[in-house]
Amino acid sequence: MKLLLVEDDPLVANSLMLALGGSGYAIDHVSDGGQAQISIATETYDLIILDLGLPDMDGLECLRTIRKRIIKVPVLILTARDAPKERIEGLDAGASDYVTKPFHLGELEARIRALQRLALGCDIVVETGELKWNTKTRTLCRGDEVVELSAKEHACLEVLLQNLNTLVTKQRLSSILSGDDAPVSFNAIDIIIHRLRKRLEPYGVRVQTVRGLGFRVEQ
Amino acid sequence: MSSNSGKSMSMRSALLLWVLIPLIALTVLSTIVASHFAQGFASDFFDSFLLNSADSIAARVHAGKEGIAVANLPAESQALFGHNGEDRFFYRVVDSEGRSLAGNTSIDLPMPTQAMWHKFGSKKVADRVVRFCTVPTLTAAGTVIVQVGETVNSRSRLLHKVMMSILLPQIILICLACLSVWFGVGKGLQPLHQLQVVLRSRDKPNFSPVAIDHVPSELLPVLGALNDLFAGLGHQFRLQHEFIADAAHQLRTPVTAVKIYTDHMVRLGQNGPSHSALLGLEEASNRLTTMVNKLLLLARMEAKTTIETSEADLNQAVVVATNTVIQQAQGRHIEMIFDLPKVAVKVQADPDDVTELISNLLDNAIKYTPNNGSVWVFVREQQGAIVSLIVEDSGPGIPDEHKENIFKRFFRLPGATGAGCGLGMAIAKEITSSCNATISVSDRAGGGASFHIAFRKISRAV
Repeated sequence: MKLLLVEDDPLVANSLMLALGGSGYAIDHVSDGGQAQISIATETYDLIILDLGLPDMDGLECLRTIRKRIIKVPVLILTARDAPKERIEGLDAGASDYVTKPFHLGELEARIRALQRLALGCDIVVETGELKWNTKTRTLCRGDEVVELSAKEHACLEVLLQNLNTLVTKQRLSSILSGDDAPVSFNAIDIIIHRLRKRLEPYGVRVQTVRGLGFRVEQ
Repeated sequence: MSSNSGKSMSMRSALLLWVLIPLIALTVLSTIVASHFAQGFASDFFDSFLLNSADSIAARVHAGKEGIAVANLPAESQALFGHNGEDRFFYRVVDSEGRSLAGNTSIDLPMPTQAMWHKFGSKKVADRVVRFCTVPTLTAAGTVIVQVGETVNSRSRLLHKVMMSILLPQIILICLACLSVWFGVGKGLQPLHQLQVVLRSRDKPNFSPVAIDHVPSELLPVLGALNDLFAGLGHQFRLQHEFIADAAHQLRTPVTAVKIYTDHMVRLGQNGPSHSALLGLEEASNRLTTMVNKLLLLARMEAKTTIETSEADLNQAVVVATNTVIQQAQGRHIEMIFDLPKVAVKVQADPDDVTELISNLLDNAIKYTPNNGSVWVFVREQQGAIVSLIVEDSGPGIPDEHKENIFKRFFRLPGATGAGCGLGMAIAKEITSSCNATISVSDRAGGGASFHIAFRKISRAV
């Protein structure tokens, strides 16, 4: 997998090249917007990591130029500008994701992987406990064995797995599960979760309850 | 207010005093002068009557064969001479040897001597002042002296009336002058009062120029100087904040590199001899990262000088903030318990700021709660368009002497351990004041701390 790193600060650039290189990525490094344009014109990259504070042009300007030429390549903005307004501007200019300095290396790599999966349009498999959830085929398996769930349990688990490690409020579950003619009450949600928890416990999957707020499944 | 406010005299009282002193002096002076002249007028006026009375009596003196006879004065005439009973009228007629020929007087008028002829005099007789005159009249039988006198009630009454007619308008004038000074000065000082209100309403450092309506020209230089001072202070304030923000921003790049190298080395050095040292390095770089981020956030919040007007959904902010800390809580078996209203609660605040605020409160609560403890979050709609966010924990609580200090920058409770950097609560305080909310801390009823933030609610009616 080939990455282009556009970063003017040698300290950050060198550390990233060492760390990402150690994780098996091939990296080309340029330190200004002009060189970035040339590299993009001559080489094909799977992902571009772009710093916003470039010496010759604004990073957002650089991003807009890239987007004029290639629509699809994922661009991950790496910047010290972290005000919400600046994040919004970055995403609106065509960035696929936004990471503010300083960041955790593991998080950066996870985001690179996520962007790669999205770009390839491949089956995304969410793993939790001993189970694997395929988001495309919407099946839950342990190894080759398919774990069967009721329709409501299935829908509930899907929402929880789509938001892995994140809180899902009861309101949200209720509004997703409710049809126009068949509203699902909070009590019904509690019952579905209770059954789901019992069903998944043997596979080492824990559905956590956050009292008064909602539920969460941890990877 | 300054400590010398007790000694200082109000401008209003001072002006009143300065108006009152000359006015009262003027009144006293004019009263003395008027009294002098009025006494003269009244005296001349009544004396001419007295003289007429004396002449009338003299006309009744006849020199006959048996000597001098004086026709009796009828009671009606005496009453007339006595100003219709208001005063008592006395008269006597004596010959040149001083023998009394006629009269009604039992009082002791001075025996007329030649020196008193054609003259008026006053004498105090039995607690009454009596005005008298002595008129000689020549008859065939020699000189007869007529002496008439009267009490001075009518004179006093006239004098009194004249004095009142002069004094009363002057007293009214003084009262009116006092009133107009009192209210006039009050009205004139209105801009000062307005200035005070404007300055006091600035609870955040706000160095924008003060503008008040209808500034009197006397106040303009003061206002100008004040605004110059504000401009200077504001500039210094901005420079200081810019420095903090720039410093934090500049620190980010090396910190990022440190963090990347450290993460990478921890990964490489697993099970190696320097693993524990690397873990320490990772911990230190994490804390450095947190510190730099919080410092920058604090600088950004402090740089906000306007009150936030956007709206945030408190429930939503609680959910987003909870996601940032839930792992930490679960890892230490701390139960988080929420009690939120079923419907969205909109408050006057920036959504990102409120999320940051709640994250800081939750992070703090979890940090100070022992393993297997609890953290509670309540959102309650109060009366008067206030929404309360309450975050409680089952930790050790905050001693009373530190309840104010915890909102200060870099303050940490004595004996506190862990990765806190002492900026979380300062940020929380800045965020609350930027959205016109208030934050306070108290003891939770079963032990632990209870943080209470009162937001301004945005009413659902559009």
